[in-house]
Amino acid sequence: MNLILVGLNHRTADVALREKLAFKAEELPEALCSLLNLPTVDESLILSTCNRVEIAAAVKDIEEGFEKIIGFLAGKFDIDRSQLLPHLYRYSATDAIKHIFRVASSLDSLVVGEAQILGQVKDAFEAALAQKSTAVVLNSIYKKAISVAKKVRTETAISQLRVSVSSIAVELAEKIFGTLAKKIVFIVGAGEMAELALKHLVGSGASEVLITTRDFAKAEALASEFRGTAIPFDSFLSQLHRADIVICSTGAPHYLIQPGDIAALEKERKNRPMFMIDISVPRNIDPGVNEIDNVFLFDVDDLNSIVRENMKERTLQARQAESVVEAEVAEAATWMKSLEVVPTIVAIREKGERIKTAEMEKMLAKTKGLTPEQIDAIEGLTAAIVNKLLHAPVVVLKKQSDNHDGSLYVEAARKLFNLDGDADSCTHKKSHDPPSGAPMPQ
Amino acid sequence: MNIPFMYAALLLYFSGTISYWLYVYNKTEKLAFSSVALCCIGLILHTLSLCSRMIESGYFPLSKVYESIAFFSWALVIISLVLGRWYKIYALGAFILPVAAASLCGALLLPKGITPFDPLLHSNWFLIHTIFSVTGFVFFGISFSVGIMYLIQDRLLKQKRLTSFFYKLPPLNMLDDISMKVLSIGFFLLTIGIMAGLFWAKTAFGSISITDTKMLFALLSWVFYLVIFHGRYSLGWRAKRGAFLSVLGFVLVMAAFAATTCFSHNEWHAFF
Repeated sequence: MNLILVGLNHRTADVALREKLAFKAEELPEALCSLLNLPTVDESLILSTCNRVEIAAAVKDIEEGFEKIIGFLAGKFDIDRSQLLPHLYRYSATDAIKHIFRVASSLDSLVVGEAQILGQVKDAFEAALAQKSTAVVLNSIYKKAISVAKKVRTETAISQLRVSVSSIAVELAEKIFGTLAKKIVFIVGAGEMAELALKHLVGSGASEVLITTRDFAKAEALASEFRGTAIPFDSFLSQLHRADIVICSTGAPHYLIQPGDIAALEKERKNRPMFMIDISVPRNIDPGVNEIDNVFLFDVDDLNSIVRENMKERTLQARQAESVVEAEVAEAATWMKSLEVVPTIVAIREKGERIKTAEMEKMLAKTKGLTPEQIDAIEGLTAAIVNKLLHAPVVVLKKQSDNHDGSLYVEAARKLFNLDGDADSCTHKKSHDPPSGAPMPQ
Repeated sequence: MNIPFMYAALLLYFSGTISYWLYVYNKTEKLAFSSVALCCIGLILHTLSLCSRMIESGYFPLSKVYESIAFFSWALVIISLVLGRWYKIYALGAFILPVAAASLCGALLLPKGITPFDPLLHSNWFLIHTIFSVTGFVFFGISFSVGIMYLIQDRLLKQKRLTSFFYKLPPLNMLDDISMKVLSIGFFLLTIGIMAGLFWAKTAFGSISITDTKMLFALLSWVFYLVIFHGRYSLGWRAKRGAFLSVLGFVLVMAAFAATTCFSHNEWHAFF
């Protein structure tokens, strides 16, 4: 049983190709089944997001597995194999485990430390479970991947520092005001960034929203969207004292808010702090405003440099996360190797048992007049012979399973004992029957 | 017996301070736990010291300067632990415990012998006066630490220096809120303390003399805090100005305490 993974991501394929190969949620059940119907595939799982499409599978033969899955992709999405191949990456065994763990821990993402990917991996896993397209291998690996991702989140600060302007705005606001409940947000001008920041702030608890733009109709539209109040643009300065948080993003080429305007407000606000974000370029709020006590002004450069600082820190944290993942991959790889050895040992013992039983029957049919004690003694003799003969091979197999070429021994054992392809034994069933091995430590 | 306990408590407070500072630097939860643990063990020893002193001497330990500062430090540690738990911010300890440790250290440099029983010094009114006044100052001490945290964070925000230290400080509004509450409690306690003191002076001496320097400075500090208090509630002296006044007020008051302890000519306030 081998683990393989085939896929493409934002690094190997452009968005046009990724869009083409995207699986819609409704398409997954059928696709998973089609994969299972491929000759060498025993388990399958599909992960499809806007930045990557990956198929993970447990297969009997690695090369054949790759061939069939790539063929499946080419066929399903009507793309020539030769066009597809340069964009695909292929992983098997330990490399596949490492890739799966890294992806789930957001280490392979466009923005390292992003929180979405874990949810997407969980969804993909659940879809596969619903289709029963996974068994021991994929179930254990993906369950482990999810717990490793959680471990990375708690043991490193990889997701803690914010790397988007809007989430930084919220974080700063919370640093000043504690809770955003009952805080009033005043948005001046309505750009995309401003709206995004507003959404984040409202999402984090800000209750009242005041909106002003040159185009009053637009202000009203936004106001109804956020259940706020539209303020006429020419008189917005008079209403500014109501605001705890001000987001400014108009196209005006000059300063709309001067230090004098704010100084006048402070008395009415009784020195309550004010948080102002100026995301316009050129700036709409005079930087001198920051000199005023209890007013905190951040412009687009300030916010971007915070983003850069945080990204740097995230990169450092990512290194720590990689070592956490490495350790987990080593443990999972050892588990996978033990998977190989155990069914082989079981098969060898079962074969020994079958031969012993068959020969006993033959002998009993030919030889009459044996007492029950004699039959017992012969039974014991044959059992002892079989056990002693098989003892050495089994011990060696167990010992070698930890080694790099342990699987060679497994293969050799299977060939030497003729465990596969026996004409008279039941062979080749789709191994959804779990191999009787120890479960992976979670 | 009580003195060795006190030295042990001081040692634990110093360790606790370092642990808190490491916690603020690193923010691993284990450090928060160890800081609080060190603080608590120190507090137990501190309490044992005060109790054993009380048993040895037969009266409440507030009649020497050493004792009043030791009590101040003890109350400061208790209240800072309570606040940290209440608001769930352990960074507070990093700013308050050093003050407690420093004041205890200063106290241990002073004469520590137990004064013999004096009916005037060890009366009930005197006890109320000292307990309420000292506890009042404990709360002012906390407003001092909280004020410092506010000013540091305000400065970091203004300069856009968002260091990891910055991220560990509690939000500005929360600090302001704590400061307000703590000032109110402190002012209330100090008022009662001073009134009890005046009452005690009347019963002890039959008259109240405001020429004693300590008494003068006590009244002046009370007036100063009255102004801060009024400013906060009616004039909007919160946020940066409020924090600054809390810091300034406490520094002035402590300086006054030190000065009058050294130079007071009234024997009731110059008890060395």
